[in-house]
Amino acid sequence: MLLQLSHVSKSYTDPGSGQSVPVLKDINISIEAGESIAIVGPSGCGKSTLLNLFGTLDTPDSGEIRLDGESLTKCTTEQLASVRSRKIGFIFQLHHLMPQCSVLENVLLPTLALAQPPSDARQRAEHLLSQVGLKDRMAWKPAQLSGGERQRVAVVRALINQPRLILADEPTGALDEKNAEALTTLLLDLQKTTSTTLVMVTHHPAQAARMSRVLKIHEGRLA
Amino acid sequence: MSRLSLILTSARHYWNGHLGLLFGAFLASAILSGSLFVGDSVRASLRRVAAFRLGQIQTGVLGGDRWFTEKLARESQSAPFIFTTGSASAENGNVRVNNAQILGVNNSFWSLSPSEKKIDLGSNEIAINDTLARKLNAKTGDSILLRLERPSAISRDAPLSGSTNEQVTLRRTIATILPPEDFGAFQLIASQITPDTAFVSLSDLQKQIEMEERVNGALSALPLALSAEKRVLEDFGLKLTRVSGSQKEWEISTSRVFLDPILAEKLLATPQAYGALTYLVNGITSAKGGTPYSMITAADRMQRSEVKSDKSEVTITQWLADDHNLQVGDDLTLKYFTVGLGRELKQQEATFKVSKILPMTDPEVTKAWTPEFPGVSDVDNCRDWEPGIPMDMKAIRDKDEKYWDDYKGTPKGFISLAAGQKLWKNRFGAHTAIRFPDSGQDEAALKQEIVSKLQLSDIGLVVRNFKADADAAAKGSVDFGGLFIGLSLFLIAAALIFAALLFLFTLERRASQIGLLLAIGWTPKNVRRVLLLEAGVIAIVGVFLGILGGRFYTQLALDGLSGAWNGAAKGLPLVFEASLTTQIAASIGTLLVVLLTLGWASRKLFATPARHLIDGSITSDLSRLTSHSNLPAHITLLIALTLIPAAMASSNPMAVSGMFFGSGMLLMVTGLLYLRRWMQSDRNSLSQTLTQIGLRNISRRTSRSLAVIGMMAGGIFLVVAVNAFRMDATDSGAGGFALIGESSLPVYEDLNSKSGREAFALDEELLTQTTVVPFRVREGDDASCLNLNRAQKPQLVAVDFIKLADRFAFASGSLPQQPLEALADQATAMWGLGKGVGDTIDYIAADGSTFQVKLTGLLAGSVLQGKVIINEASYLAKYPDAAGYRFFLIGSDKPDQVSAHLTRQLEQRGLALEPAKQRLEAFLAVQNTYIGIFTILGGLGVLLGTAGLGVLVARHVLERKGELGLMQALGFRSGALRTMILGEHATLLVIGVLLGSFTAALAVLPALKQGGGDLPLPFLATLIGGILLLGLVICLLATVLAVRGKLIESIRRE
Repeated sequence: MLLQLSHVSKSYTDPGSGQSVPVLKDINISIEAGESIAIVGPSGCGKSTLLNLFGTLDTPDSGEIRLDGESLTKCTTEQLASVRSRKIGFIFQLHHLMPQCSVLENVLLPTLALAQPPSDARQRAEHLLSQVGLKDRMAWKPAQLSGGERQRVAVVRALINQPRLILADEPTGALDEKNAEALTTLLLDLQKTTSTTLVMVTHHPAQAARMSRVLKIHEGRLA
Repeated sequence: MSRLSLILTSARHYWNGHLGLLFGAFLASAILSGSLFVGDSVRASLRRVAAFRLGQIQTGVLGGDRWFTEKLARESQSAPFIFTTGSASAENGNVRVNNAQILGVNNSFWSLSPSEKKIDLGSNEIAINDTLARKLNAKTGDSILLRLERPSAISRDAPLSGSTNEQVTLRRTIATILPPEDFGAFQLIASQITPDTAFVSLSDLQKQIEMEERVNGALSALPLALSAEKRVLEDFGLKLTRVSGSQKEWEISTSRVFLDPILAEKLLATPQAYGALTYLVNGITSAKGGTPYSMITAADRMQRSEVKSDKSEVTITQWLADDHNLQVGDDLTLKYFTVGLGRELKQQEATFKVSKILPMTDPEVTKAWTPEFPGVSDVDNCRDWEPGIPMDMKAIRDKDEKYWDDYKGTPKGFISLAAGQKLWKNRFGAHTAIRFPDSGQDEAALKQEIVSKLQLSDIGLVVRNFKADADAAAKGSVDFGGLFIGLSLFLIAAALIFAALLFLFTLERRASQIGLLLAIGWTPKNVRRVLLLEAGVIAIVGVFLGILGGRFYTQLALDGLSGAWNGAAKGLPLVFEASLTTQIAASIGTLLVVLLTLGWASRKLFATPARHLIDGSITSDLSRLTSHSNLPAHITLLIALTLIPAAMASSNPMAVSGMFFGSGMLLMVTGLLYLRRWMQSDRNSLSQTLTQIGLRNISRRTSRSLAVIGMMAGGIFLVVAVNAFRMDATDSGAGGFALIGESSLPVYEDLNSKSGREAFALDEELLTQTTVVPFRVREGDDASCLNLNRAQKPQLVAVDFIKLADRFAFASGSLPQQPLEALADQATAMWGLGKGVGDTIDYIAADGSTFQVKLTGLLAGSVLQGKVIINEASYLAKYPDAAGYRFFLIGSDKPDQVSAHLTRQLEQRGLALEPAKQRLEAFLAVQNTYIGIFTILGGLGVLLGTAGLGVLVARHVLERKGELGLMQALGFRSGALRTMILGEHATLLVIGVLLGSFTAALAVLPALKQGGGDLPLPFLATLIGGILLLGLVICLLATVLAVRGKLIESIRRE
């Protein structure tokens, strides 16, 4: 079992009324290694919150989250950062590439979070970039790339530290249909070749259908 | 790819965004390093002045009115010299310089000069320093006149000390004009102001003042030791003579007439020694006759019954018995003068019963009893006496002249020592001779034995380490580095806030990058470190440029201190110095301060969760860092309000100033805290008008708004609060006195008395409403704010405190009541001495002992700066030899006429008078200059704050371009939007200005009332109005520039 959520709930305080607003209610999920999962649901249902909990960017009010059998409930900020750097790769709707860094440098950015950056990081980066067809763009700056290329760099950046889990929050949201399709294919291919687990938040039923499992969220609960 | 390369790449990529940070770091560094360089430069200048004024001198002895043998100085490997003061005049008499140093020197003195250049002076030649030459407009070859006082062995205040008019005038040709390196700046007191000095050949001066082979000072390039073997009796002013009476005896007497009590005590320890006191009485009367002006000796002769008498008995000579036809058992009255303060004499009398009559052939009836009274002992005729007391010459009969011819000063009567001391003991001593049996000792051996019992320190000849004093004075001098940092603190703070504000703007633009780094596993600490190091790279460049800019800033400050601000560094020739240590310290200091400021300013940003930062949001989840309580504001308010009464109750002026200032600051902080609460609460209210929406925008970025309000309020507060201490010369500061004066030579006479006025032929009618309050002056360091050195031995002066009652306003304490309690000006105590009420200052008394004076009263902004003032009686107890007065406060209804008259009539004493308010203004000019500097630097800080406001406006508008476009799309006209933006930022400006003004006024009002001052309202109103106007113009400009073009385009782009 790669990831397990047991009775996880999360709520936020409404800044206007000061009232607590529940977002996720008693969520129980088990995700096996190598799975590809789509999280779907209407806006505001808690998809991104769930993904943030998976990615340790947020902590549950109650319940427990275990990653690789390790409970994340009582981890410190530093420990959670370490977990993210070693085991989780993120892809966001916007690429969030550093404009000051080249493509290769952007890809290598997560390795700087490791206590000891791997010696073969550069070779891995070059290999992954050639896999996504960007080998000749390694020295380019993000501003020189197209939208689809930028998002592919973001995918490679998510994979550089060989994570067990890739979390993608509407990664195709800012792309046209053609590029969106290509990126989804790329993600699934890489997920298979690298034997990672992919969890993707999406609004597109077609993309969701290409995943091995679909989790539907409605009013804060798994439907 | 490494973190370092990421830092450098980012710094390069975002260089334009970091320009604000670069500018802020540059400015902070330039001001901080520049301020420290000012400190370095002033210290270097003071060291240079000290090196010039002392040359190779390390130690020395200054005897003042104690003259010792030149041989003692020579044999102690030191340079003997005469140190005195007087006046110098140009030959044509058009210019006169008072209080000039007049030095008698020989070649050994010149070997101590900085250049060691020998100056050979012939007997008719003189060397003067360039300061004096400039004032006299004299050149080499010109003749000048020096007027100085011939020294007296005995204090001219002492009874029977002779005439007070013992002046010497020297006409000498200027052989050379000395620059500072040739001892032109010679001075033994720590001051940066070069005195006027004239150098005369030692032997020439000794001859002119009748002090051959005597000096009153010795200087050495080594630690000076006046060894016991080298001392002789003459060094103590003592004389050993064989006297013949009924027995052979040795007598020790002194050229000072009265033996110093400490010497007398030591000499009386000689086996079988006894003391004698001989006094000139004004008259001897009895029922049967009267005899004028006679000597009476008081001496116990226990072993000789024929002279023994108790205190109500007198043994008289046959001559006196015959003169009065007196018999044993008759009563006889002695009339005599006793000395009061100054030369004030009181005639008193005492009656004795005649117990014995000695024949004139009796061996005890001898003139040997009588010391050498100046103006008496050395004249042939009674009618030529000038004893320094009023004499009725008509009372002297022919038979009295005959007595003088036959017997000179032979006493006409003898009383017991106790009786005599009861009548004539005074502050100068209680003996005129000590006698002991002559058993045939060798005179030379005996002299040596006597000398071995005495210490030169007994008569105040103490070796002083002038070099160490100079070092301490320069080290403890006014710290211009600290002062300028203090004066520029707000400008530095404004630069830092400016840098932090613009750095934050850049970071906020990169919020999603920060979020990303956190999301991919960077720890918050690492992200923060990388970003601060990136800022550090920029700051290093800014700091480095700032060090270069600091040199420019220093040069400007030094130019200012030499020019418009010369009140702050009076008389100091400034040289530039920027030590490597200071440069390194300033660089590291600025860098640390910049990074700490940025770290502190960005703490909220780094506390924002990654999930929000990725979306570019930094406002969420900050509630845990934001207080939702008014408690902090209540607490600061309470402390501020508590401080005010506490300050009013305090007697320590430093604490009073600190508490009022602190209270004002706290009130300002309180205001900011309440504003923060208001902004937070305002977020939840409903805005129904465009104005309300504009105001809502103020609270949108609470920290930014508060930073601008704080910067404006802080600037205004400091400028207003400090300017409130700008002072004008007041009547209370001058003690109601119209004139203040100093004389080159002491004035012994009481200028309020008839006799004193007659002595100088003063116009009684003109002086009807004139009162002179004279002060005795003990030479010491000027502790006023005109002296940049820390006074090591502040000048001690003495006055009869009754004459100052109800004259001056006190900052704290009151007029001293007890002996050795002292009064000082508040500024002198606080800044010149670093002391407050209750603190003590050590002085060395005339007998070499150390005593303490305790400060019990501090005068507010007074004309008495630079001095420590004690009561005259206490002073005379410690310095019995003190003679005359050299400092005067004069109250008069016709100050101009009185000043001209007194200056003319007391020209020979070198009296220089000036309006008291003029002197006070000179003192206040220093303080006002500091305030002026602060105002300029503080004003620049406020200007920077105003520029920050402009940046804020531009930034706000850029951030809100979309929403402004939306408002335009909804139908709001551009003018209305501009008004809204201008209104919200003008509100920040006005709140800042009002908060600063009110808290400053509140803070300083009680202090001003206490000090008798008033707020300089027109000046402050202009200042605040100017700041307000400038701020509004900048806001308007920023608004117009930011809102130009079609805002609606931006919404289309979105």
